[in-house]
Amino acid sequence: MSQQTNKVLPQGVAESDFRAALEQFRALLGAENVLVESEQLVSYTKIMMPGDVARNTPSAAVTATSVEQVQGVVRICNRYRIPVWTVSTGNNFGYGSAAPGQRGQIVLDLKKMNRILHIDAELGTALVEPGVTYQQLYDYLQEHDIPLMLSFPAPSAIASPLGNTMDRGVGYTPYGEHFLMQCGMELVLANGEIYRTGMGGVEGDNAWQVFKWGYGPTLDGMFTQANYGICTKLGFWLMPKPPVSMPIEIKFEEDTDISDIVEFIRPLRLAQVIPNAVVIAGVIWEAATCNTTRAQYTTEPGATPDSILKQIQKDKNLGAWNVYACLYGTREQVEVNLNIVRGALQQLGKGKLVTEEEAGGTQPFDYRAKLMTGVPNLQEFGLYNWRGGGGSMWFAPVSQARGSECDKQYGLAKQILNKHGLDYVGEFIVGWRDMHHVIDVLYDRTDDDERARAEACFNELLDEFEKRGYAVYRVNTQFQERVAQSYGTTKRRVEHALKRALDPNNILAPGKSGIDLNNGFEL
Amino acid sequence: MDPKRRFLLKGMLASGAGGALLGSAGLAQAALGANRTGRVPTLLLSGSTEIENSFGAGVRAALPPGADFRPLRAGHVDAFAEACRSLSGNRPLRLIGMLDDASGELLIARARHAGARVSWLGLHAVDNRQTRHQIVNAPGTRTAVLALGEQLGTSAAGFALKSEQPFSEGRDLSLAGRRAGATTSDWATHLGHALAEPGRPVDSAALAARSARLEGRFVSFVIEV
Ligand SMILES: Cc1cc2nc3c(=O)[nH]c(=O)nc-3n(C[C@H](O)[C@H](O)[C@H](O)COP(=O)(O)OP(=O)(O)OC[C@H]3O[C@@H](n4cnc5c(N)ncnc54)[C@H](O)[C@@H]3O)c2cc1C
Repeated sequence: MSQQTNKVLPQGVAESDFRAALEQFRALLGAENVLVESEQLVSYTKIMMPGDVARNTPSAAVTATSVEQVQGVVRICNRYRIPVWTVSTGNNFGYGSAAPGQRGQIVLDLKKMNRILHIDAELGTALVEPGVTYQQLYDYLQEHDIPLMLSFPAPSAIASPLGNTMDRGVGYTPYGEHFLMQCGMELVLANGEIYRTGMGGVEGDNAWQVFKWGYGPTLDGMFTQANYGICTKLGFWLMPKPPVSMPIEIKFEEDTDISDIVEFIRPLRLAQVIPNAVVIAGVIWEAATCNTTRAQYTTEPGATPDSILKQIQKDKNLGAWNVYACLYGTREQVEVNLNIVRGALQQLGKGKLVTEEEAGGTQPFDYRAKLMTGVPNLQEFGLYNWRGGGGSMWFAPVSQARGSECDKQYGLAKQILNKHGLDYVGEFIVGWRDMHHVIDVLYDRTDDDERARAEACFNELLDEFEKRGYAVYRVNTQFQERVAQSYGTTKRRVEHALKRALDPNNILAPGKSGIDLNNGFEL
Repeated sequence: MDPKRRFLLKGMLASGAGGALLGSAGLAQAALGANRTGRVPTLLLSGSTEIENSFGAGVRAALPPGADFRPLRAGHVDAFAEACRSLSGNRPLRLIGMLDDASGELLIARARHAGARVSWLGLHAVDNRQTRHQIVNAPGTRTAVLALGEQLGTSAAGFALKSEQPFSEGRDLSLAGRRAGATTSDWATHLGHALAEPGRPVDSAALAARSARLEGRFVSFVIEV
């Protein structure tokens, strides 16, 4: 075959060893599941980070169809010291996509392990393999008339519950904190052994998907955003579909309103009057997701002037901030809660509440309503057309759910982004007591100058936020080492001690979250 | 080097001559004889009518009469869905196209999921000041990079063309030109032609009449199933 089209090798691995490993992968998986030609690998290199593609180019990609094959892959990797980066559906856009964290790592793509293993309609639980997508689950629930509702990230249709949960992603329903709703994992460890968390190790047990903690140390969290094991099954909880779901939007006119909005929402969220992961979306986010592009208003380089943003707000009938929430329950429950929300809004003295009927099927209300009621869609990809050029990095600092905090973060982020000629394209996702402040740092990858500015901007965002005690909850692979530094040396030493114990050959995704035995951390 | 064509060839071509400066004429010629695409049916996916009238016109012009060719309706949601479906089909097929960034991102993700072969992946940004092109390509479409470079060098306003070769160490190609006063070129038509027939020189004279100006941000691709 034309292996000569791909000259990439795993770091520190001799070509002869790599060839021997490939032969063994072929014997294990079948030749069609071992991808080595450049044409087969280009789609694994569609990164959106500012670094060169070469940094994240795999030497090969392999696809497995069973747990035994995953075990076999791990054994071969151990034999030849080949680093392996696992993806489930690989749609981690803005966090590294399907590309490996480091050049030369092979990608273990689990897209073909896509069986829905079990849905319990009464208990509201699911057990799935890595390649199962939310769309697949949605279709399954529809076909079998199962009254359960999904919670998913915005790229719902193509993303996987397992991949999203392993990276501690979020959704927009009451079950929006996905790792919180996770219940039971099966993992292939670096030595090829299978480990089940929670109740999963007990022979004959049937409580694996209903009781998280099991006995003794509870280790599930340790495997998320980490490189200690390859998850081959994930259990999680699904919300019973309520008789009534009422999505609402509240539009606020001024960008200075953010502090008041958060103070207004928090008590309602804490008291579960509004039970879902509420979103407070900024004006550009809203504009882009109703198919507005920057070029429709200006072709001048740099940050979009506030005057234009105000114009867009007016033209598209948007708020400077747009709150999306959803009420669930019986008609009576929903009515009671809606009245409480209306009452609180009246007290606040600003903000215009919009119902689904009033929105009339228009974007962005429509896709937000779908996200909050468990209907997959891909409308949010409109963000990529705002500026265009294929550059996107999520900057996602966490804060307390306090108005003053959000105000401070918003002001700081906007100032830094604008200084580098980029726009603030952000939203706050209201967690239980926290805010995920999610900013899409959008830039044009075709423009070397803009690429450099985006990189500098991201570094400055991390630095300046850190100085004020903030850090991000997740980051793209180019910045994973930098972010690990924010969390302190002791944490890193513990993480590396675990790595040394569980994966002494450093084969599982070295570099993930800054964990790599080549870093030299000793406990 | 022709002083009228003030563009700079940095990087290294297949010769490995680091920093070698070559004239644009004959760049594509030099690479002729590289992989020719086999005769599989071609499906054209254009994200808009403007793309169809420029990039798509180039694709049409390149294909010989009687070639198995089908354009999908420009910019139509069903066309995108059909293109995605075709990636998972059993029929051998070549999908050539150009889309906006959002759709392009999704399509490449679908191609990966379907296990399709992507021999060309381009990002393009074009406004009235300059055109910028960033390509990741497999060796089989290298002639298309050279053809695009030649076309830009001949008639573009300021431009930058970067072809990353992540699978072969140290072979990135980087071209840039700063010609003042020229208008945006019909680059997309030439690119469509070069991608549809990577082995055949582009007939610029024949293309000029067919091309329409294309500005904005785009993703181009050649995917084989
Ligand atoms: C417009 C847009 C909106 C988005 N909105 C959201 C959002 O609302 N919420 C959100 O969370 N994200 C969001 N994202 C980011 C991202 O696309 C999603 O998080 C998506 O779910 C991740 O891709 P995936 O599900 O295919 O997971 P994968 O890409 O398969 O996995 C993600 C990461 O998890 C790890 N991993 C995956 N599988 C395994 C395994 N089997 N074992 C061990 N580790 C594993 C790997 O490190 C991998 O890189 C958005 C992206 C876009 C473009």
